[in-house]
Amino acid sequence: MMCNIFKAKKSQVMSADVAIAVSIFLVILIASFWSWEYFGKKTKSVDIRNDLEIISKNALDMLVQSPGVPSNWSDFSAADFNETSVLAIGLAESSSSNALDLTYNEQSAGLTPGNYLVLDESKVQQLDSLSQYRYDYFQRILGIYGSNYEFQLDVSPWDGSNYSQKYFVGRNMTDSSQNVVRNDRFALMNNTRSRITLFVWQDCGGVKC
Amino acid sequence: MLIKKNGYLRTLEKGKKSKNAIVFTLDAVFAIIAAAIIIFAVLFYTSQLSRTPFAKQSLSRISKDSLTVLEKDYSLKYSVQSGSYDGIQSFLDSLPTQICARIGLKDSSGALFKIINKSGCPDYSPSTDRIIHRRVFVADDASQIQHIYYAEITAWYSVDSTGGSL
Repeated sequence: MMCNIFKAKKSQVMSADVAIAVSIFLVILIASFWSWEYFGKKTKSVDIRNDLEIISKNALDMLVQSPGVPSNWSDFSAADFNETSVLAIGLAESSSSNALDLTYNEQSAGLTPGNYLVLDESKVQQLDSLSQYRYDYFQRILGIYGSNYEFQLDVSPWDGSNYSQKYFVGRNMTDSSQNVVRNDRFALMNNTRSRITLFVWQDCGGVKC
Repeated sequence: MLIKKNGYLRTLEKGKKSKNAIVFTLDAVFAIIAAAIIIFAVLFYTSQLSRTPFAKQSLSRISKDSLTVLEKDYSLKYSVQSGSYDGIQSFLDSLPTQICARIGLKDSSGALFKIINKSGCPDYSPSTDRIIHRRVFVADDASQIQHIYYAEITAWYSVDSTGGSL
């Protein structure tokens, strides 16, 4: 019987339909791997972009709509300004139109008439002066976490023909800045219309994040 | 050239035509069609993802801020009292270039008496996604009697700025 097997003349070497099926299978397999890789990268990119958008909006909302906690944080000296004494930063005025002191009531400016979108310029100045020393702290307190996330805040009052930058907080964008997100809000500062712009981006030092 | 005949592989003699043929299997055809449908469906649905999912939120915020600022700096009040709408016009014209907007002023009965459009913005089409906000303000008439007015802002993105989807 074993000899008969070796003497058998019939054999299956290769059939054309197997060859075609294998080639089709390989094409589909390669297409699947390519799709997996492509959509994985695209999803990650969209996810990072959405994260930057949400962070930027929340930070800007907190800055222009709330006076901060405590609301008189701009009165603190640079030495007293730390994570224990200042829990939240906001640029809105500390008192409402009926002179209620928000330091006492700790109310959200959004619920108090008069100072919603009305900025206290002394707070903006304080933020501007401290930003180069406390940049990491401002990042944390504004919730701008994330891998290599950086920010820049511009306050630009209306000069009659344009919004001209008067205050700058944070870092400058560079050629290595990626996924830059920009959000604008409008408010009053010293009875002058002002545009408050927050840029948030990723900076991976010249390589793709 | 090798051909299959009676279950055996044979060499086709030169000049002779083979009567055998290789049939493309139907299950392979079905497999290709199914794979192609799945791949194209995935490509189609992922291409529908909006590139600007937060665009409407931003537009809404800027619209509300606009009315708030115009009301708080008394531009709305003074415009109605004086009949000159330059303050509102200059504010609208200073909005970001990708945003178009118009402000309509209505009296307490809801009757529209003035529309101020941002310069250089074409009118929106019925299919354009728009954001509408309203704000109440008070202005005096010639007899120093206060009246209630409504400012209504309609904002939309100019077509080229959104890539076709919001």
